[in-house]
Amino acid sequence: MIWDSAEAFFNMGGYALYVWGAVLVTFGLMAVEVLILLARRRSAISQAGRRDPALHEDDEHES
Amino acid sequence: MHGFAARGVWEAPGAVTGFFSGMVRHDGKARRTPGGTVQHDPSPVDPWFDQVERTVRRAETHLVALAALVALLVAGGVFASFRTAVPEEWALTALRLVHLPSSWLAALLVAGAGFWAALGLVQERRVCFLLMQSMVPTGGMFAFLALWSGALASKGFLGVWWSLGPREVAELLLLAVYLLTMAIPLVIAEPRRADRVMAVIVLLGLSQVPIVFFSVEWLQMLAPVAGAKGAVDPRFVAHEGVALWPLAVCAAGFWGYATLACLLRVECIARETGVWERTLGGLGDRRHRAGKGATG
Repeated sequence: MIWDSAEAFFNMGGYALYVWGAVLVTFGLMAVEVLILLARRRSAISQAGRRDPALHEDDEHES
Repeated sequence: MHGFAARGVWEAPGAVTGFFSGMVRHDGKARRTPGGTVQHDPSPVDPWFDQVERTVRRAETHLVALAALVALLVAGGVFASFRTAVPEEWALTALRLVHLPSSWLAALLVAGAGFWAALGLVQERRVCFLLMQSMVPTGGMFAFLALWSGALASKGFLGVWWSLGPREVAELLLLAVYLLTMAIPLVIAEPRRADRVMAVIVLLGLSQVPIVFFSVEWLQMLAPVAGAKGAVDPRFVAHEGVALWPLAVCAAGFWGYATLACLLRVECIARETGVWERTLGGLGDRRHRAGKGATG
């Protein structure tokens, strides 16, 4: 990498707003999706556990 | 029709009737014997679902390692792309690194969902529709991200948010397909009909895949215009020495991410609809426990 400075890198040749707007939203949404999925999985497991506690005791311990 | 009974995992009232229904218990619900022990009917296990369930469990066992691998691929692709780039190329390089994998995945996921939709319609297995549904929200997210990063790149380099190119239109149509598919369960209450309608919409969305992949020269994205404005190095515009492989590595990371997200979601859907429980709940979870117990 041809580095001038960290500041130059963040500035992105004057396109900082567009570049970081795209990059942060992309990785931010991906992180949010994972968090939503993990929460959804947890709640699905605990609901199934309420329906039939004998079945899912292990899964609840796992999560 | 007997297929539904033999693979019976549709919950819709009256959906599961047929030749085998008299011989095979297809609801798979837990039964209590007089002694009080819970028994689960082994009959409704769809071997295909068994395979999906095993894949999901295997992925979840190694979830941390797989997530680390995904992060490593993305970071490696980004690092390799920037390693040789001069500062004038940074903005375009960064935008490409998020825009192109997003666009590819938006198309790839509708292709994957289309595959399961077609197989589900032909095979009449609900597990195929579950796999189809698991891909739709992630695909929608990437379609949105492709449009978002495309719009920002367009605004930055061309000064307009939106230009009506074939890629933009295809991505917009893909987003519409994804959103429409996600809205179907809200409109159609009966799961079997909803699955089929969703499958048809996804199959219609397949028409956009070749447009996304072939109608554009990907590496040319914005480069000619930006080059004309003097915004980037002419060498970059001509793509001399711009390697494709770092972009491919980054895209592989995105692909891995999407795979993991879809596997997690297929488990969520299967658990919420009760398929997980009925086909494998008693069997699968116990077998899983037994296996874990055996291996210590």
